[in-house]
Formats: sequence, C-alpha cells, structure tokens
Amino acid sequence: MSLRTGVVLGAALVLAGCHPMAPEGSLVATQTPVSGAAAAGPTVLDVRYPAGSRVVLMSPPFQPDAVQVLSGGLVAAGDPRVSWDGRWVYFAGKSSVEADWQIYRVNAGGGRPQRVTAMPGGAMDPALAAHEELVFSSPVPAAGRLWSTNTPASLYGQLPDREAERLTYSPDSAAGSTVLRDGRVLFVTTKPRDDRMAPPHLSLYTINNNGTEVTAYAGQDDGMTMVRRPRELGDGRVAFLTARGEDPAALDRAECVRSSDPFGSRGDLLAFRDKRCRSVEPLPGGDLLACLETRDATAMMDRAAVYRVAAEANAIGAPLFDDPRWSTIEATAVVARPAPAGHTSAVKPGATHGTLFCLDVNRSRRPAAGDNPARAAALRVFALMDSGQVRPVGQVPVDADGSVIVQLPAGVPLGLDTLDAAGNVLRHQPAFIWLRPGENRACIGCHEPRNHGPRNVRPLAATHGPAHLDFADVPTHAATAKP
Amino acid sequence: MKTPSLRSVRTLAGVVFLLSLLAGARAAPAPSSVEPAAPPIPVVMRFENFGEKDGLPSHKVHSILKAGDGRLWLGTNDGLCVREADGRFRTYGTKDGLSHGTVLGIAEDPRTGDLWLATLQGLSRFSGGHFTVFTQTNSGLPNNVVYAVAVVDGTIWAATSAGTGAYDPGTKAWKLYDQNNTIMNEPWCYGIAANEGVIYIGVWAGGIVEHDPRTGSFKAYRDPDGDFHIQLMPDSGPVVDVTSGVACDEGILWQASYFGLSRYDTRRATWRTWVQDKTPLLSNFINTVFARGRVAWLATDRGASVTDGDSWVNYTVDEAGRGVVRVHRPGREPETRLMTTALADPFVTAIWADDHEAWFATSNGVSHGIFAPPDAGNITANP
Amino acid sequence: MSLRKIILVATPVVLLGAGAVLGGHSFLRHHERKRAGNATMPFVSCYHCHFVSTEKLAWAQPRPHHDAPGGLAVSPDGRKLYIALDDKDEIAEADLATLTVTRRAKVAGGPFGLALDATGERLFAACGQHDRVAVLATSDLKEQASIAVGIRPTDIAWCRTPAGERLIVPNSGSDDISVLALQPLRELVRPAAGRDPYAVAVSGDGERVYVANRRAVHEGVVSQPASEVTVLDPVNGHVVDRETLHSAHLAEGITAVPRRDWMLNSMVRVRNLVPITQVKDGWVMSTGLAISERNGEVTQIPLDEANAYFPDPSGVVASPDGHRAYVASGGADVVTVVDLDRLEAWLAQADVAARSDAIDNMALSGRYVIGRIRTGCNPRHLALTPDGRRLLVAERLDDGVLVVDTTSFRPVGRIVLGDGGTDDPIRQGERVFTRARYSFQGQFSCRSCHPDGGVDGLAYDFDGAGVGDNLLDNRSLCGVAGTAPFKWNGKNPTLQFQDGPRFARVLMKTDPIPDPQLDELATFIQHQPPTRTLPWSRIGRPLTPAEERGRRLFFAKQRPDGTPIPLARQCQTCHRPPLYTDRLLRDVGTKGARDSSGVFDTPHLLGIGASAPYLHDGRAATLEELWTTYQVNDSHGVSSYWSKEQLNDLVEYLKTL
Repeated sequence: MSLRTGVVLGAALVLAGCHPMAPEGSLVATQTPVSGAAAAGPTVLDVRYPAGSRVVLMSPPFQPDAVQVLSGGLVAAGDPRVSWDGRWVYFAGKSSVEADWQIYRVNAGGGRPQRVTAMPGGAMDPALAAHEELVFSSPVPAAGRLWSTNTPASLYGQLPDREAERLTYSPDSAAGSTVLRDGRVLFVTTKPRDDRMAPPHLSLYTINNNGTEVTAYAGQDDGMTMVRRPRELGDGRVAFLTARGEDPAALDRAECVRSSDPFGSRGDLLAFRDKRCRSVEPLPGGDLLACLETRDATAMMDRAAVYRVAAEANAIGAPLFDDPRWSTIEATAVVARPAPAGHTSAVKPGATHGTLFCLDVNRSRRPAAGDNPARAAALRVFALMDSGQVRPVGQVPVDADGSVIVQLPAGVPLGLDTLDAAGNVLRHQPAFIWLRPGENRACIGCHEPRNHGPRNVRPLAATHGPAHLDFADVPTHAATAKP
Repeated sequence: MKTPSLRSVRTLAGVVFLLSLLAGARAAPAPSSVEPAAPPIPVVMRFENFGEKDGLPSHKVHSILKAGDGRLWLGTNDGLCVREADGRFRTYGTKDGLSHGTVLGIAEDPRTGDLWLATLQGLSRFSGGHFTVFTQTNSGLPNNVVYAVAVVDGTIWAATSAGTGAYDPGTKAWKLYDQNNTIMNEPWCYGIAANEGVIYIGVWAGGIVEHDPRTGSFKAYRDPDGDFHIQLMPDSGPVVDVTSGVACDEGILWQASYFGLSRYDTRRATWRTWVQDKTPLLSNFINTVFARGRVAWLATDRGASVTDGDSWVNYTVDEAGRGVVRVHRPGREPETRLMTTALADPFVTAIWADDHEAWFATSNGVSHGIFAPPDAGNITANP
Repeated sequence: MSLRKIILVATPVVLLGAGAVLGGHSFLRHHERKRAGNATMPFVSCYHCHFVSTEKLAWAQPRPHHDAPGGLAVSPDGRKLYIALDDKDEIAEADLATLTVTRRAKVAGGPFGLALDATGERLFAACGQHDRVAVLATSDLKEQASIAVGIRPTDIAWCRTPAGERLIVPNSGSDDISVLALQPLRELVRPAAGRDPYAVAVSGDGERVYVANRRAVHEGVVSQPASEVTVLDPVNGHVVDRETLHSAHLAEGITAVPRRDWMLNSMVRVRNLVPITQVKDGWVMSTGLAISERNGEVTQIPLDEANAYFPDPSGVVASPDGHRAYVASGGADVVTVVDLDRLEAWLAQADVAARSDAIDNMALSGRYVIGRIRTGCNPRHLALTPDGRRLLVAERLDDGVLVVDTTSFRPVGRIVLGDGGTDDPIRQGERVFTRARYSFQGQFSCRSCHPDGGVDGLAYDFDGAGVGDNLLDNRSLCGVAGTAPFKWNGKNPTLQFQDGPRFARVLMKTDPIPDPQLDELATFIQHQPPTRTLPWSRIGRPLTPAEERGRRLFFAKQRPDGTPIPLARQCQTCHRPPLYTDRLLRDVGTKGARDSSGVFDTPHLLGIGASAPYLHDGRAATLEELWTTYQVNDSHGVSSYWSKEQLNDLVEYLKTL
C-alpha cells in the first residue's frame, strides 16, 4: 500500500467514523412499548408515540435483539424519515416530559440525535424536500384536537442553517406532509368549510415548497373522512391511510390513488383489509413496507409488526420484523433515492399581497346556487381572521368573459363568492386558499374541473391591470412568515 | 345535367324555340347552311334564375365562375357562394375568413384547384375550404381594393386601385406594376387577362397595358382619338381609354368599357370597335367581358350579349319582364323573339360560359343560361 | 534620479495620459452617440459595432457530425431497415434480423425523410439541406434520380393513384408541398400548405394524403393559434381540405390507422394566450393526439397524465391491425402506447362537449394509454415491421435505433449507428435542449417552443410583475451567437443568464438547469446557424433586382430627393451588419398598453424571414406589417417616403438575410 493510498483510506475511515452509514437493506422504525405505555404529554404526538417510544435502526437479518436505537436520550420519538441521500434520519422527538416535540436528526448509521427545530409549541411530521429542506408541521396540537384546534398546525420549510418559513395558512391544521418527486409538498388538511364545528373532511392537498399554489390533490370529492401518512410510491401511485368515521383510532386502511388520475382512481392499496395498517412506505424494487397490527393473544392487545408486501400480493406472509416487546408501528427503508425537484421561488419577501387570477369564474363543476343561470358580475372576497371571524376584503367586478385579476392580502385564508348582477351568491368558497407575498395564483374557474388545463383564450382581465382592494387593515401573516 | 331524358327535353325545347324564333323573323330567311368548321355562337334557350329565395346571400352578384370540379362559384355583395352538387347554395363570409363580403372577381388556379378572390378588402385565397387573406398591409398586394384577379402559369395577378400585383406562390414574392414602373398612366386597374403568357391589364383611364413577363416588356393600347364621347378613329385602337374589363382567348383580346366594346386580334394586330347606336352592341355600358374561344360574352347594364364580332345574340328584358332575344347576323335583318324565360335582371355584371351553358351574374340574382343544342340550328360565327 | 526629477517627468506624463484617456473617452462617447443617433446612449464597448465577423461566430465553425437517425423505412418483407442520417449525408441499411448496419450510402443534402415504393425496390429521400428528393435503388443504394423541391423538405410519402405513382413532399421552409409524379420524375404542382409542413401520410384507401404542419398561425397575437393538416388529392395535388387543429401545433408525426378511417397526428396543445402564472395541469402546454376522421371531424385527446407529462411528441405509427398506436415523446424519452380500441370506445360514448373538453382533461389518458416504453435520448421517428411485432424507435441523440417487442413493450435490441457523440459539447447541449426534465413535472423542454432552435411563432405571457402584462414574442435561437444581450428588454448579458435561474422562476417552475448543463446548452445554442430562408439553389447567387433595390433601401442614408435620413432612423444604424443588430435598446414606437417600457432589444435579422411574427409582442404577423400597420411616425426607420413597391423590395431583401 502506498502512502497515498493509505492516506486516502485513513481519511475515508475518519469520515466514515464521523458519519456512520447504515448497512445495506436497513430499515428505520418506530417502536412503541407493548405494555405500560402512557402518554408523555398532552399533545397528539404524545398519544401517537407514548413515553418510551423510540426510533430504531434494524438491519438484515432483522433480529429483534439487534436493533440500534437512534433516538437515544429522548423520552419519546417517532415518525422517522430518511434523507434523500440515505445518510440521515429525521424524526419527531421529545427530550423530556415537559419539553415540546421537535424534529431531530441523526446519522442513519447511529449516533447522537441533534435537534434541528426550535418551534414554539413544537414540531411534528418531518419530511424532506429538495436541497435538504426540512418540511414539518407546527405547533403540535393537543391530543384529540388535531383537526379542531384553535391553533392549527401549519407547514413550515426550513433549509439547513436557516430559519423556518411558514408555508401554509389553512384554517385547520396542515399535517402529515410528504414531498413528491416533482417537488411539491403533499399534506393533509380539512376540506374548506364554513361551520367550524362541523366534522372535518380530510383530504390531500399540495403546495410548492414555498407555500404557493395550494391545490386539491385527491379525496375532496369522496368520503375520505380521516386521512394520514400520504406517501408517493414509485409506481405512479400515492398511498395513504384512511379511517372511516371520526375516530382516529378506528381501523387504518391502506388506500391509494393513481397520480395520473387522483380524483378518479381511489382504491385499496393492500388486498387484505382485516389488519390495521399503521404505516406503508415504498421499498426499492416496487415492494411495499407495511406495519400491520395483529392481535397479540399473550398481551391481549394489538401489536404491529413489519411486513414486506409484494405489490400485487393477495395475502400477507410472515413479518419481516416482529419484536413481541414492541409494537413496530412505522418503518421505512434507509436507502438513497433521487431527490425531488426543487422550485425556484417567486415569493417576494416583504410584499403584503399576491395576485389572484381566475380565467372564468363561471366555469365550475358545480351548478350555481339555486341553479341560478346568471353569469357572475362580481367577485366578493373575505378573509378568515385568527379569531375565527370572517372579515370582508372587498368586491371586484368580473369581466364579461368571467375573468378577474385582483390583488389580495397574502398570508391569510381567503374565501370567495361569485355574485350575479343583483348581488345574489352564485358560488361560494369558504375561506381556505391563501397567497404568498408576490405570488401570482391562477385558477380556471370557481370549483374548477379537476386536473384540467385552461382553455386557450386571452382573458379580458389581462388587458387591464389587476383590481386593487383596500385591505391595508386586514391583519395577515405575510410579514410574519417566521414562527 | 346530361341524363338522356333531360337532354331529350332540352333538344326538343331547343328545336321548338329555334323554330319559333325563325318563324317570328319576318324578313330573315333560315340559315342557308351550317359551316362545320366554324365555332358556334351559343344560343341560350332558356334561363333558370336563382336569388335570395334560393339561398343566395345577396341579390347582387358581381362575379361568377364554374370551377374545374364543376362547382359554380358566385361572388356576391355578401360573401362567396357555391352551388353544391345537390343544387343548394352555400355561402362563405367574413366570419369564415373571407377578407370582405363583396367579391368582385374569382379565378381558379387550374394546377392547385385553389380559388383566388378579388374583394374590396384584399385578395383572398380559398383552398381546401379555408381562406387566406392578402392585404396591402400584411403582404405585397398593391391595394386592398381588388377589382379583378387572374391566374397565369401559377402566378396570381390582382388588378387593384393602386396598380396590379403579381404574386408568385413559389417564392412568396410580389411584383408590382403601376404608373411608377410601367408605362401605365395611372394605377387604377380594372381587369386582368392573359393569353399565351402575355398579360393584359385593363386600366381605368389608361386603355390596356400589355406585359410580357418573360421579356419584361410593356406596351400600351390607348384610344387613338383620346375622347370617350365620340369615336373619330374606329377600328384603330381601343374604343376608349376607360377600361372596365378585359378578356382574352385564342389570341383575341376584348376590352369592355362604359363607352363601347373593342376587339384586338393579337396575331393580326388588328382592332375592331363597337358602340351601341351604330352596331348591334346592346349597350355601351359594359361591366365585364368573358372570352371563350373567339367568342365574347358581354355583361351590360341592359342585358347580355354574345358575339364573335360579326354575329350577335343579345338578351334583354322588356318592360313586362319578359325575356327578349335579338339575333344579328351579318347581312341580315335582326331577328327578335320573346323568350319563355328571362334573365334575372337586365343589369348583368359578369358571365361565365362554356360550350354547354352560361351563367349570368346580375344585380338581382344569377341566371343559368341553358343552350339550345348545336344541332338545333345555332348561329355560326364567321371564321 | 531625484524625486523632484521624477515628479517633474511623471507629472506631465500622468497628466498627458489622463488627458488622453479622458479625451479618448469623450471622443468615443461622441463617436458612439453620433453613429448610433442617440444623444443619451451610455458608453458601450467598441465590439458593439466593430470587429464583428460572422465567420468568427460559433455557428460558422466546423462542428462534429453525428449518426443521428432521422426517418426510417422498413422494407415490405420486413428484413431491412433504411435509416436517414441527415447530419452525415448518408442513408444506412440495417438487417433487422441481426440488428446490424449492412450498408451505408452517401446521399448529399441531408436526407431526413424516407419512403419506399410498394415493391421496396426504390427508396425516396427528402434531403432537407439541399431542397431535393433523391431516388435510390435499394439493390445497390445508388442514386438514380434527383429533383428539386421546395425549401427544406422533411418527409416524403409514396402512393399509387389511378393517374400514376406519386411522391408527396412537405417543404417545411417554403410552406408548400411538392406533388411529384414518377415516370418521368417531375413536379406536378406545389400547393400551399399551412406553416412548416413537416410530416406526411397516405390514407388507408390511398385516396387522400395528409400533411401535418408543425407551426400554427393566428390572425392576431391574442387570437387562438391553429395549425393545419393539409389534405391533398394525390392524383392532381389539389388541396381538398385544410383541417384545423385549434390551439395545437408542433405536429411532427402523422399516420393512417389501418382498418379505421382515422389519421393520427401527434401534437402539442398550447395555451399561450393564458398568462403563465403556473405550469401545473398543462397550464402552458400539453401533449396530445389529434384524431382526424374521414368526415373531417377532428378530436384532440391528451397523452399526458394529471401529474406526468410526455412532451415534444414526434413520430407516430399505428399497428397493421389498427389496434394500437405508438407516439414518441422526444422530451421524456418515452414511447406512449395507445389502445385504439379503447380510444374508439371512449369516442363512441363522448358527446360533442366531452370531445371538446378532452384535450384539457389531464386525467383522461388512463382510458386508452396502456404503456410507456422508455427509450434512449430524444426518440423521434418511429416505424413498425410489417407484421407489427417490432417497433423501431430512432433515438436521435443516442445514434441508435431501439427495437421494441410490441407484445411485452420491452426492448429486444438496438441498432448502433454511432457513438452518441458524448464527447461533443454541442451534442451534450442538444440533449439539454431536448430534455424536459428541467421543467416542472417534465412538462416541456427548450425544444417545445423552439423547434429546430427556431420559433414556434407564438407569443407567450410570462409571469412578470403582475398578470397579463408581459406578452412576449418567442424569439429564434438560430443565429443568436454574438448578438447579446438577450431577452426583449436586453437584460440578459449571456445565454447562461437568459436560461438560468430567472427562466426557472418564470417558466420552468423548478430548479435552474445546473451550471455544467447550462454551459452545454449555451454551446449548443451558439452553434445554431441562422435559419436558411432562401432555396438551396440560390445560395451564393446574386440578389435579384428587387432584392438589390431593397438592399439599397435598407442602406439608404437619404431620401430620393436628397433629404438626409436621420442616422437614428436609418435601418443600418440599429440593424448593423453583419449581425444586423447593434445590440442596443431602441424605442421604435411599439410600446403596448400594458408594457412598462417602450424600449426593446434590437433583434438581429439573420433568418428574419422565418421567424414571424415580429415585434416584441408578436403583433406584426408579417414583415410588411412592420411598416404598414405598426409603423408610428417613422419611428421604426423612415418609411413614409417608400412606395408600396419599395416596401416589397425591402421585404424581399430582408428575406435573403
């Protein structure tokens, strides 16, 4: 061995020692104690990951005694996500019973977890976007209040060594995010509603990784009541867990939609429905990694184990990993994957407004209220305040072709009404969408057809400047994107 | 229509018509003989008229053409109209892409089958059911007011109020002919005709300009007396400089004007002129002339004529609205006869004819002239 | 030398030097402002006007040539594949059993489109660079005859009619179609096509020939563009129909579907009239297939999916049994498989509204798309063996032909034509140019708007300060080397700047193209020569009299009466040869109602005849309109003294540049 080779090998060993790699084929998983587990606090995560919950690394041949704890030093941890390069594991953790949940990061091969967020009220549901940007939800709502809290969780994006930037402004929590290959953030929130007391209808939405272009992705038009953990599979499908009814503890079922037709392709992901599915993740090669609950006759309780499921499997086989002492509720492969696309942001920090552009407010997949055949003459805009109160923003005329361009306050949930010439409401959109500062947001109609491109017409509204409304006194979070 | 039954009917009707025509000619003896080698002057046996009630978009028809595929095209005051095979009229207007509703001229490119349309707002090409518009602002067309159009060896010639333009579809280049670069004395061009590669441009107050594109030569034919009121020098040049239309076939160039008719034998370089009071010419006011062989069809304000310069058949409408045909033969008294049918209107704007039929564009619709069969005694032209 | 002496000597030297610098600077500014006719012009480098030579530009330099496959033709017995190699001036013959190239023949003039007669004994090649059609005997691959056609023929079809054999040749550069008769070889007629006629196919019954036109035309900059499918009667070459593909263009492929009265056109559905506030859901463009039925009805259907796109559709072929169609996506390196039975079933139940809406419905394609076949880089032309069992895919930028089993949709082999030119930075740049991965969801590539580096003839409304206030004509990339700055506002000093982060933000909506690929892209663009607008036979020939008159008008410094034309409004001042641009910003009176400025970059004029429409927002459909409809107070050159003939002459001259 030459001196040069020795130096290179030595350096490599030193580097490897600094950043230990997980063995090939490893999984990272969340384990919760089978017995005696109690919530370590009052939040939704404390219920999901009781005290003692941990994030572990398990490697082939997946022996229960050979797991490596990655969340050492934390009283509870869960929801691990692996960075796109396969070198890091991000997860939600809690350093003490009193502490907030925050996002931690640890070498995939093991090591001491480092806290990467410092969000007031805590952080949860980590996901990784392009350029190692961490996406998460904050604050962590109280247990049982995820979809009914007065302080809903918003999505944040945080680039390495940068402060977190708020991405969503939906009236209800935005949670369970994952990042699609095209760079968009897919997350769960409630379908827009006026009655805040009404049961939430959860569905999937996307935003760009700068919070722009909030768009319905799937589930808005069907009975997808409770949804969580959406994951993009490698075969053109997006998987998620659903529960019928309002009880989040009800049977979790793995379903999916095809990304080619997300509104028309919902179906079961797994052929077997009798087991509660706690998580499902893609594996290299097309198989799935699922954590399924079975009844532990000894412990007289449900306990989850890890299964490798072939894409077209009709029956479940033996678990890939099962530790009677733990319920392994989440597992994902530690493997490098192509990073998602980025998005060059057009957000203008410091701006207080964005621009909404609708090609034809009359174009809709729904009839107008009362089947009113009139065309819209005006668009009325209102905002939902933090107090829960609805505040008018203003009203702008609609061009003869139904097009409208209007500047609106950024960083606040906005609702829209189209009005006929007599002032009757034709269509109503509860406060939900938001604009980022400087964002030019477009739609082809009000309650527009899903997954449709626009008709190629020159909107009359484009021949004149945007309508301006006086919304200086509408309190927004545009200038306070930071937590 | 060439079904045997119809043909029989036409033949029979033609014989009856001709017999009645000859019977009515008091002093005129029957034709002594028919010269087989001489081209006939077709005689219209009866007219079929079509107007707005039949689907024409306007009662004013300015131009007419029967295309190579047998379809009849009408340039009206309100669009281009085609008579489909089933006899129904279909109109194309500005909403379909036509440059202007008033179509003053129609020409077919026999090689491509495309139609070229002279309109009051540019030149339109009608090809494959679609229009392409050439205007003075988007192309090399000299002026938007296009009075006439002709296709000569693939080149499109457009007579406009600011000169004549020649468009080569191959190179997409325009050539412009006006008072600045030719011997044309003014740019107001009313007619275009071609024969054996030579172009004849009818100029409103400039007689006829002859141009040979192969040599680049120009020659002007002007009224030798220079006066449009009187004709001091008949048969020595154009009857007048005010040309309303030109037509040429088999070496015979015809000049229509509002002051008489001229005929130029390009091979013999001889002129003949006609004015209405001294000749069988129906009217000095000739809108356009259509040439076929050595015969000219004249569209005048008082009816239509067909002539070879010696024999004439004039079609007019009397005060009662009845059709009148008047036949002039050299050396014979004219013969006049009422027809069972009449032109749609005596103000005839354009004519198209072949050996079987003639179509007359008038200010009140269009008339289909059905010929008497040749063997029923058509008038012959002098050789 | 003492300090005093040094000071005594140095002071005047410094003063003289400073004076010379200041004086020189002042002189140069005076010179520049005088010559530019602009009294407020900032100082610019001498290179703006001097030391510019087209011979030194990248596109004028020799470059490597590659075995890029163009058109394909399969022998009737299915044994031979003929491959056009336009960049090499060759035609290759490959054995489909061994997947090896068996012969190559030199065919001058860039053979691109290929066709065989029914016996397979004669091979016809449309040679785009020399504007000709070559007839070769397949027995020896020797050229037997040649005939001139229109400018830049791109495809060729053979058919037999009652009047004899015919060859139909779309001439993409002269916007017409050569209809040729064989025996003897002659051109019968050359009817006008739409714009950029590109691909041709004969209907199943042989009674019609369909020509797909690649570029759309529109009546006004904010009116809907439409491209044309020109339908000919091959007997006489008459145009019998001009089918309209509304808001569609870049139709590079067309095929007849056996056993159905369908013609299929690969096409791009473009939405250029809508401000580009986003790109998702095909907001800017999407890929589709136009189905032309014999009754003239045309239905556009999407080939994309709600969240996946397959841009730059090119070749399309239908299986001999009429059950399937294959469409190449040059931007996604994919061939899409369409089940025509399913498509027919969908069409049968679709009412007029559903058919009209179909192309905008990004979730529809799952009804009939049954496969996506991955290919090498930039699949363009396609062919099928006569039995339909093998699909042949010309991988244009990988110098190969992929052979795909049509039962399993899996590749079974590859005919290697060249090495791919991976060491050629121009070729690498072309790969960047054609790949859609640099746009959101891979929706489009550079080529999606710049076919062959030129223009698509449309104006797009880019996301600017607001919405709807940035309507910009697409500018050609051909001949842009040396013409910096770029962009209509002249703010981009380099192509890298032009195509970098700003473009990612306003159009691509994703990460910028990485720097190494950006450099390669710039290299490729700089090597694109100006679009040839003259027939090949006229290259090197003197100007025609009209063109010469136009040239004199272009360089005129005074009116015919001797009145001088102000320097700032002489054509040659701003459009200074040899690039015909002074690379400065100018106000020619074209500020639009929503333009923030009336000052725009002076475009170069090389190949200007092929880059309609004109002006920054594309408002001028033709060159003539620059000085008729859109001339304001002689702002764009002094044209008020021109006669119509002079304007025509000038236009003829401009078309020669």
